[in-house]
Amino acid sequence: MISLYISHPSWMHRVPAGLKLLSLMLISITLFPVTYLWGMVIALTLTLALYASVGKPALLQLRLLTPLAPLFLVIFLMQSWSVGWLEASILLLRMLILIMLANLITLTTRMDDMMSAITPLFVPLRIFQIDPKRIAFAVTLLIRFVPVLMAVIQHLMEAWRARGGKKQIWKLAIPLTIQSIRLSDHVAEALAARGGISASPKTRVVHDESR
Amino acid sequence: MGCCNPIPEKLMSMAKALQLDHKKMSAEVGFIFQNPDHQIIFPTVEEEISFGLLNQGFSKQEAKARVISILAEHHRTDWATKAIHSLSDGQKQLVCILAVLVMQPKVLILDEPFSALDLVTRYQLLDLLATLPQQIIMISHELETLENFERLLWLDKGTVFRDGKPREVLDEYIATAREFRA
Repeated sequence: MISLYISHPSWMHRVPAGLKLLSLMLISITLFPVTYLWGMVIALTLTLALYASVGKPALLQLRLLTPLAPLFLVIFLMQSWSVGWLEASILLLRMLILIMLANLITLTTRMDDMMSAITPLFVPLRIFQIDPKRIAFAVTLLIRFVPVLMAVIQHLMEAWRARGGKKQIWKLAIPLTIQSIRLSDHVAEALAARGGISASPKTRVVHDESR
Repeated sequence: MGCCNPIPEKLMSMAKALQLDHKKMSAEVGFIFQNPDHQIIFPTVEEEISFGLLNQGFSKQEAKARVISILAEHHRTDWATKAIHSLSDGQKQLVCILAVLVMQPKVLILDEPFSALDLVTRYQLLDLLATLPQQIIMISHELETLENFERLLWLDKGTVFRDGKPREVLDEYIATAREFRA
C-alpha cells in the first residue's frame, strides 16, 4: 500500500509530532494577516528550504502538488475577477505554503506518533463514553489513506484510457466508490486479524508466556 | 464420492466464538492474506509489527523490544525504520508473516500467500514456515508448495472431496484436471 512516509531519516523525523502540528498552526495564524506579496514569496522560499533540508526524497514529493494546478487556476481567475490579481496571488501562495508544510509533516511523521499526538485532543469525548484513541486512529487512518485512494483513482484512469475511454471520466465515480468500500473492508479485516484497535488499557489480555 | 462437511461442528462453534472476540482470535489464529497490500496498514515496518502487540496489551517499550528481537531473529534489523512501500512484494509478505508471528498464535492460516512472488522468494518463505512451531494451514493452488505438508484436503463445491497424503491427493488432482481439459 502506498504511503508518503520517507524512511530516510532527517532532522524533521526527530521533531515530536505534536510540536510539528503546533508549529503548522502557529505558521498558518502568522501567515493569515500577511498582505504583501514579497512576504509570501519569502515564506515560500523558506518552505522550499525546509524541504531541501529534509533531503532529495522530500523535494521529489513536491510533484504531488501538480494535481492542484487546475484548482489553483480556477481560484486565481475567480479571485482576480473579484478582488484583483495581487490579492489572488497572495491567497494562493498562502494556501500553497500551508499545503506544502502539512505535506511535509505527513512525509516525516510515523502514524503511531501522529496518533499519540492528536489523541489528547479527543479526550473530552470520554464524556460520551467514546474512547479518544479510536477517534484519533480513525483520523490518522483517513490521512494515511489519501495517497492510497489517489493511487486507486490513477489505476482506474489508466484502465479507462487503456480501453479508449474518452472524456466522461465522471463515469469512474461508481467503480471508485466500489473500490473504496472494498478497500475499507480489507482494512477492517486487517485490523480484526490483529486484534482490532486497542482500547483503554483496562481491557488488557493476559499473554501466555509459556507458549 | 463427496465426503463430509469440511468443518466439524465443534470447530464451527469455536470459530464463531472467536469471530466475536478479535483479541482472542488473534491470540489463537494468525491470518496471512493473499495480498500483502490488503494486510499492511502502517507506513513503517516497526509500526506494522508492533500494532498487534499493542492490541494484546503490551506497553510501547515492550512492543518495540519485541519487534526489534523478531527482526533480529530473521536478520532484518535494518528494516525497523523502513517505509514498507519501499520493500519488494516478497519482503512485504515477510513483514506480514512477522507481524502475525510476533503475536504468537497457535495456528497460522495462509491464504494463497505466494501468488505474487517469484520462485526463489517462495522457497525462502517456505523454508521459514517449515521452522515454525505453529500448526500451518495453507490454502493454495501451487501444487509443488503443498507437497511437503502432512495432510492435504481437496475442496470442491464447498465440501472435502479428498483428504489424505499430499502425493496421493495431488496425483489424483492432476489426473482429474487433465481429464477435464478436453
